[in-house]
Amino acid sequence: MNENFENLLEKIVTKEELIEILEQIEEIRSQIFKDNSIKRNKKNQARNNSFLLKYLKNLEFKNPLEKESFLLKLSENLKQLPELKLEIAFEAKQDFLKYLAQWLKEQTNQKIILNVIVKPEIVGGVILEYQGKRFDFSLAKKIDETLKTIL
Amino acid sequence: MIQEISIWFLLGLLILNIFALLLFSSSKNKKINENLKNEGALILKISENFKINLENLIEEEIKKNIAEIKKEIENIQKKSSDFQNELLNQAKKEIEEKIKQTKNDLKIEKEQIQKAVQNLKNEIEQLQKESFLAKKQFLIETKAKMEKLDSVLAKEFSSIKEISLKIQEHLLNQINTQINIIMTGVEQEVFRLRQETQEKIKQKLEKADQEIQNYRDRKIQEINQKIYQLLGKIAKKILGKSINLALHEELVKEILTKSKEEIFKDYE
Repeated sequence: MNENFENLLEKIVTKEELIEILEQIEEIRSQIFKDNSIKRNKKNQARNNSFLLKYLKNLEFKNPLEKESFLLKLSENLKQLPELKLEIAFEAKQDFLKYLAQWLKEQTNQKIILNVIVKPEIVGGVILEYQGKRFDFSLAKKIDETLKTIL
Repeated sequence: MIQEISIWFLLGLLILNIFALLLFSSSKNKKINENLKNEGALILKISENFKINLENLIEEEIKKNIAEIKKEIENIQKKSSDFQNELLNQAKKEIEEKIKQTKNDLKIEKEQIQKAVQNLKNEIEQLQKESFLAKKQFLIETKAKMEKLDSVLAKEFSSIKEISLKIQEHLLNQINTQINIIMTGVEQEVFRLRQETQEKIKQKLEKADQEIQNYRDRKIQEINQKIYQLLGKIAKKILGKSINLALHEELVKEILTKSKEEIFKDYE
């Protein structure tokens, strides 16, 4: 994987985006041996402008088989990316998510995909789940603990 | 009767003759007078004396005639009586003859009837005898037949009783078999109905459970919503301010920074 690949990974922040990319890869792979003259649907046309296609355009393949093999490998690599599950009480903006992704990369030296789940009942803070471990830093928990000590 | 008619007829004729004679004489006189007048002749009137004499003469003549007529009537009556007697005698004879003949015929008829009655009596006697014998014979035969019939009937009755028992037994078996079949069918039907009912109840219960679950989820969601609102208020009181988006983000960043070692210590 080269610099282009790193650029591609930067674009993928959340699990939803990863799934979207994997679907696009699968679709491109399925179109390799088909007639290019076949009209693509609106969704496919929209994807033509995606960063995935830009990334693939910069690559040179000797034949369709090589392209297919590359796409399969790319798909497998993306599926193996580690995932951090974040349960938060608010609808996070894209900038905040990008910030978190960048911060995580800096801290761990690896690309981590964010699986963001909005749960208003946690009130504030965050509940994290990473590599099978769960860390509850929610305000709900704090309140609960406080109430237990009071009551 | 004929005689009377004849007499009255003759009397009538006589009166008519006299009347006609008077008329004729009167009209003749008138005619003669007229003729004479016409001829210019002299007409003489009849005197009262002559008229009385003439009337007397006519009266005598009439009396004579009446006497003659009476005589004639008597003769006729006499003749009529004789003829009547003769006719009566003849009729009497004929009647007597007829009576005699009839008596004779009746006698013959009576004899024949008596003979026939006798024959009938004989025949009746004969018939009575035969009837008595036949009745006696019939009774004997009937008695024998009755005895025979009794014997046959006893046998038949025994046989019928036996057959009846067999039929009864067969019918009972058939009824039992049918009852068993029906009962099996009924049991199957009851089982099927029970299954159907259970299935329906199960479906209704599932539906009710689903509705309860939906209701519970809805209510839990409502309660959760209230809890979030309450928790928000509590958080606000604890933190001294409400949590906005920036504060949320800040909290997450702070938590990640503080706990990065704890979270990522195995993967650094």
